Amino acid sequence: MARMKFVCDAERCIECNGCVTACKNENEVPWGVNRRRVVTLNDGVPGEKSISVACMHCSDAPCMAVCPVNCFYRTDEGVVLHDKDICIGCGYCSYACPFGAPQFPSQGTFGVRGKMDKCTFCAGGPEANGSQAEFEKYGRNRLAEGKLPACAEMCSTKALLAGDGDMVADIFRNRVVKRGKGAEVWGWGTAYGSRQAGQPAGAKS
Amino acid sequence: MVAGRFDLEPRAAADRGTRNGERGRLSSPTGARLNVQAMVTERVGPDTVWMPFHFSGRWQGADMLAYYPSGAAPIVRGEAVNTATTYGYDAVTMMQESKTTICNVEKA
Amino acid sequence: MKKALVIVAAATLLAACGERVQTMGAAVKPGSAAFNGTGKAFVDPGWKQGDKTSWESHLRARGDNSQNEYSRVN
Repeated sequence: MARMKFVCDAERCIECNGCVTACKNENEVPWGVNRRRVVTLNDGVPGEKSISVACMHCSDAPCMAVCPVNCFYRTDEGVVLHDKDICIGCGYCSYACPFGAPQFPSQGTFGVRGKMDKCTFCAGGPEANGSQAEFEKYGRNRLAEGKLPACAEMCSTKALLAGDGDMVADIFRNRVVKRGKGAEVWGWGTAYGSRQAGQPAGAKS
Repeated sequence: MVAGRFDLEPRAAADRGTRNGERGRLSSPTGARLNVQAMVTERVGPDTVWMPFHFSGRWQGADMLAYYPSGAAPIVRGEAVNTATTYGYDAVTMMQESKTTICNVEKA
Repeated sequence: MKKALVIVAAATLLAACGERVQTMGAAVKPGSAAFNGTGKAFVDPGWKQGDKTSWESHLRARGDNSQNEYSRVN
């Protein structure tokens, strides 16, 4: 059973923003919304690391939990989607999300938020797959076309991996074994200081 | 990270009293005087600035917004850096030789 | 005075009787699953629209081809 996941290999990310551009172009994202962003730490100094962040399609999504009108749903593949027709633009999901994934367009008059827009894993929304209505509201439905999200397919260094969780984990594990270290900016080691392969003892891995 | 900008090293920025986001004036031997927003970063060395090309909307410091048809102005307006780049051009495309232009940076 | 108090108390206690139900109607109806395809020919070739296993294996193969270079080098 495919369980869709994103993994960004911070060791390979070069902050080219190709993923950002690919997403914006493929989905015709409204002005003011950046479904995917690249975050860079230690910009310019040795040890600079970048990571590409979008909706993580959480198993226990906070956005889904706080929505007052229940406009979110999860597909069988684990992709968290929402219905823009039900969305009232309250912004609770935006407050709840730790990644800042739900965003609102900037072009509303008097600061009206409009409908929430977020990364859909290129899986569209409740409208008919591949229809014009679905494209206008949610962007391209690439999963229904048998393709993977545009950001991952466009990544120049293949830092951003997307697809079935098992496949993505295999690819990443292969890389970690081959080069001897993981991503060094996320994971258990970074959070709790445990040793990863090749790291000196006690270092922030 | 604004796109129409130039990158300035922190020490160079401090020498000129320029903070991140403030405007700086770049002048080069071609006579160009560009007014661009500064991004203070350690990406460049203390004696180097970096600027992207393919921007327009400002000309030698003046904002060209009034000259665009209404609704057609680029949202991000920056200076055209090729007014400042010095000699050295590709024979076919006339693209500037990169990384060879000298310029003076001061607070705008 | 006491009668007025009784009336006010009664009005307060019975205030909720006239309220209308505020629950929403049906929740969001999820769209068609991705493996059903789009029904058009403009899709990636190599899998059958509507067939879940075909779709999954096609995506896995596509991911391996496009994102994993270790299967081809080194």
